[in-house]
Amino acid sequence: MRKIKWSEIYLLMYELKSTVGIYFMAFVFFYLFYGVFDNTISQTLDFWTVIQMFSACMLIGFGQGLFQLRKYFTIPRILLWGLMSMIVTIGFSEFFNWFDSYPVWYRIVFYSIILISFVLMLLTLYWQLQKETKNLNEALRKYKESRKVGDI
Amino acid sequence: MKITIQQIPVEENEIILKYSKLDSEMLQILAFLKESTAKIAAKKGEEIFLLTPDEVYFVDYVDNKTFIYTKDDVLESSESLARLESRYENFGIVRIGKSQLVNLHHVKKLKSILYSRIEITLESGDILIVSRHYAQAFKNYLDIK
Repeated sequence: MRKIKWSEIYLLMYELKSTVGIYFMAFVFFYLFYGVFDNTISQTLDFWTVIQMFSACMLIGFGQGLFQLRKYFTIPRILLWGLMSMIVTIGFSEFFNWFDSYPVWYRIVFYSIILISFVLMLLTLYWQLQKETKNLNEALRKYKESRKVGDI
Repeated sequence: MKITIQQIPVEENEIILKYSKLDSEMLQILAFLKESTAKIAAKKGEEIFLLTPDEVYFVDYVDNKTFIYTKDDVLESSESLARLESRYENFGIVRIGKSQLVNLHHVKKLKSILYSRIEITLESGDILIVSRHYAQAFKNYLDIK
């Protein structure tokens, strides 16, 4: 079995930090946002909930590494990652009772928005393919031009 | 070395090399010219044709046979795909799959598609796919990192 190096884990975390960070921000925002309108809900976040949310976001981030989305950005891999991330989000939220004192519709909105964010990954795929197509055709044009000059 | 290029009315293009000593530079030029003027023998029916690399649009290896596609024709060659690739890579004939080569000079447009593959549309209208395995090498030919 291949030995995993600490440096590889560190580099993977470095690569996934933006995904982990964005989801962590979204989780914290949703957890505290309702309290702005309802005084019965606390607007503070205790340490253990922070650890739980951060762990969930780390798993979502690691999921990107697990399905190698950077290298193979394909629909099945995005769907698998989205499914895994939804299981993590709902699992952590329900198991640790994050939204127990909130109305039911609020947690449904939370899950829906997180789900939409995974679907938006498909849009990212579309944009990425368009960008690559543009780069390919530009490189092809340059190749043909350089070869014409090179032939003389 | 002095290089002179003249455009004059002649029946056939001609290259004359003048030298006092056949040094390594001249040998390199001769080797390049020999390779550049080399033609690919391919047959259609009972006839044998000599094709320049520029006439080749793409090459397909099917049922242990090598087929060369030109603008309007399909010819069979006795050369292997690997040999054609190594010999004519400098002319833009590059590998796009286990059994296909394409001439980059006849590529009309490229499209990045799912599963890290690339769709090639040739000037002839033919559509080929660069497999995921060869996509990175293909990008390297085009100097894309």
